[in-house]
Amino acid sequence: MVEAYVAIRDDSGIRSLSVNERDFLRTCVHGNTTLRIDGRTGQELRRVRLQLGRWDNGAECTVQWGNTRVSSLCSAQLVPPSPDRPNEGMVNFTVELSPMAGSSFRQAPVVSTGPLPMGARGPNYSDRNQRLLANRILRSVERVIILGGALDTEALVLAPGKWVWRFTIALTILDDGGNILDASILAAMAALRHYRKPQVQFSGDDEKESGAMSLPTMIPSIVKEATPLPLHHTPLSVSFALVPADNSSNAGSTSTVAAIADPTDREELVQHGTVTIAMNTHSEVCLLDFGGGCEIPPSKLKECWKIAQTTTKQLCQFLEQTLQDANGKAQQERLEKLKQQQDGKFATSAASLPPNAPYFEQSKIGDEMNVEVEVDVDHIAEVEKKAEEAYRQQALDYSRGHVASKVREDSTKEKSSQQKGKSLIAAMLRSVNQGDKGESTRRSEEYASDVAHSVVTGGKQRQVTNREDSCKVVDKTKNRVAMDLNDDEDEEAPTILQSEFHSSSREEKAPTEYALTPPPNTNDEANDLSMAIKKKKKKAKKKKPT
Amino acid sequence: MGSSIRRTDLLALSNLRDDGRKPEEIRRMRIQMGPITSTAESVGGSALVEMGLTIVLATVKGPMACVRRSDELPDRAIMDVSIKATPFAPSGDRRVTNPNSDRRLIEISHMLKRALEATVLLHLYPKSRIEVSVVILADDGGRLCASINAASMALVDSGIPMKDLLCSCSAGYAGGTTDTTLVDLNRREESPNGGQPAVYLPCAMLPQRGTIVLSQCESRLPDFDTLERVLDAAMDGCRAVFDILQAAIQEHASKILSIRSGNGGIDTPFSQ
Repeated sequence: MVEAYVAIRDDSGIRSLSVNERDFLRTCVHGNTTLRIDGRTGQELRRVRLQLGRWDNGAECTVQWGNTRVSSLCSAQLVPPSPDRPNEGMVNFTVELSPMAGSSFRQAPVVSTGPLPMGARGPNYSDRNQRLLANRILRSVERVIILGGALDTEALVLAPGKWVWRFTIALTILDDGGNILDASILAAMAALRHYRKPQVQFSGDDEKESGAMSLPTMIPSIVKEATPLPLHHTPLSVSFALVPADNSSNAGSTSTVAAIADPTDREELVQHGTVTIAMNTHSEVCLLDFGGGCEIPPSKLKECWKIAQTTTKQLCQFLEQTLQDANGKAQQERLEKLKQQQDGKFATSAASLPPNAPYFEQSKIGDEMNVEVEVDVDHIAEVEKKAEEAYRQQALDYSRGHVASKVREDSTKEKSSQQKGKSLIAAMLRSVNQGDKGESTRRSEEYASDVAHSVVTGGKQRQVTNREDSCKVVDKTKNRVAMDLNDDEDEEAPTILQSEFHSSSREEKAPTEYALTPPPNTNDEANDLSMAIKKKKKKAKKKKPT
Repeated sequence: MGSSIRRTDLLALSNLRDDGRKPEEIRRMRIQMGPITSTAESVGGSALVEMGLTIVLATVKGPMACVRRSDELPDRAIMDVSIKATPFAPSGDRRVTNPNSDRRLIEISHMLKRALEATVLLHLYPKSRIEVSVVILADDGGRLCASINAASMALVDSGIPMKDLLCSCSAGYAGGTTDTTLVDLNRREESPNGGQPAVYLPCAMLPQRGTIVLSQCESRLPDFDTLERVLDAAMDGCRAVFDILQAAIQEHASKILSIRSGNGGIDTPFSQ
């Protein structure tokens, strides 16, 4: 671990500087060769590190620029456009100088170009200087991105006059180590570049005669690939601190003023003015902001431009590189998700899965399915009979029957289930079936009574959890139709099949082949299983032609 | 505002801008110094500046004691600057903005403050406060420049010592077929035409010292040479403004002198 030197921050509202430090910083800058405290020359920037993240409708970027840390978040919504600008999208910026950035930011309000989001009220009292600083950052970011032509609001229109995109870019200053403005602009641009706009589909009729507005829904990026934003160019900025040479606290006479790039927070205390220049990779100047505070001869300004040209080019290259890497990673993640989802659709072959945990989970849900049936109806015997019938049907279903059985639970319940054996098929099913409904009927009986116990007495953990699971399952089965693709494709697929089986009688579903893997756990079961499997195969094959 | 004729077409046709000026001409300026009578309790100095159709009134109070002791600086005065727009001054777009919290007004008041801090000799008044209030009465573009000019004239009127007379002017660039730089843009030229925002560079300088105090440009320029040209044009505009301001000061001073020596009459303000 590298030891970092953390400077003690000044606690007073007006950040004060001792005379010694001020003179020292001044002589650093005005010496023969400018050598600053951290070893940089007057034109070097500090090390920048970017961290990018992306999800379905958003992107975030955290910039660590020396000691300064800024985080930005970019997200979008679909809204009807404002009536006087029907062909333009909207972009809102919010800048928050978080108090964790520095003790002088205690009273900084949240400034925004649009209405503030709920709950984002800053403190009621706000220091004027902090407000000005936040405002300045907000205006610079807004100017660079909107007025500078990087993001064209007219390109954010989805359906002219009906639906446009509204972007919200929220910048939070997490740590102030000097030069917040450059870090903010970099964070905002990186988030915008990394963001991918989801495709949109319109639900309902698009016909005008229907009268009702068709509502657009965003397609998740797994289904359809999201597109990047149409950014014309990527401007990035460099700020200079103007430090006068003389020792008086006012710029009394025309003294030589030195410009140092990317000031740290101590250097910012010595500065009398600041110049910010934003350019893009094509060396076009996007922003020139000399905010005054001290006077400079125009030649100095021109010097700053030249320095800015090379440094912003470096920054832009660095940003491109980082964006490419991050994009590559995000693409990979997406491909992996796609693969998972596709595998899940075909209800992963049992061979590919280890016979332990996934099956356990699958079976658990299958149990709960049946438990739900039990709990709903009081006529346990009747339902049991139905379940038996269902199992018989299931035995006929070749593909269903070949799902590998579950593991641990079987071993404990198997003995009890075998007592009930009415037919070989039933016994076989009970031991083989992944849902193992025979047992579940039994278990459900127990549960039905146990549930009451557990709720009252606060019984064993297992029962309590089963109760909760049953509740969950109740909801699940109610939404049979609306079961979306989850991450847990493996679990979902069998339950879907089961529910369909319940609702439709006798329909044989054979979506895929289920390979058979005997569970390696209990020997008894293994023996039964292999016997049962052989028998079942024969039976199924017999049944099919008839 | 939504004209389909591009600015460059007009220039190419007649080499004149849409208000009949040549590209390097600034607008007509009229200055009144001291339209608000200065008393000891309230206003120390004031000035009314008209640049074309933009009318700005600035008043200066001070140097006086700080409201809060925590604000004062031990070695110099602080400046409180606020720029407000009246409700009848059209703000450009259709939205009605709250003058207290309109971020553009806050921004330009901050710029004005920084520009004045570079000009006024603040170290002569430690632990005190100078308050500058600017009101925009009519806005036809260039309100930052007009505010700066008005504020510096008001400071002259109130007798606060400054390094130099701060002058401000804006410049722009009409690219495309005609490659000309424009000086002193009005609102039509400032506003984005088509999708392109206008190249608008307001700049403030101390003309006799030759140094720039403020400059801002927010739209895309192809390269530095263009930026240099636009900046040079802005500086020329500032020098032209300086001539006018200086003439106005001299006229005002001679008028006061003649009043004091009993010769002249008193003009009511706003009457010219």
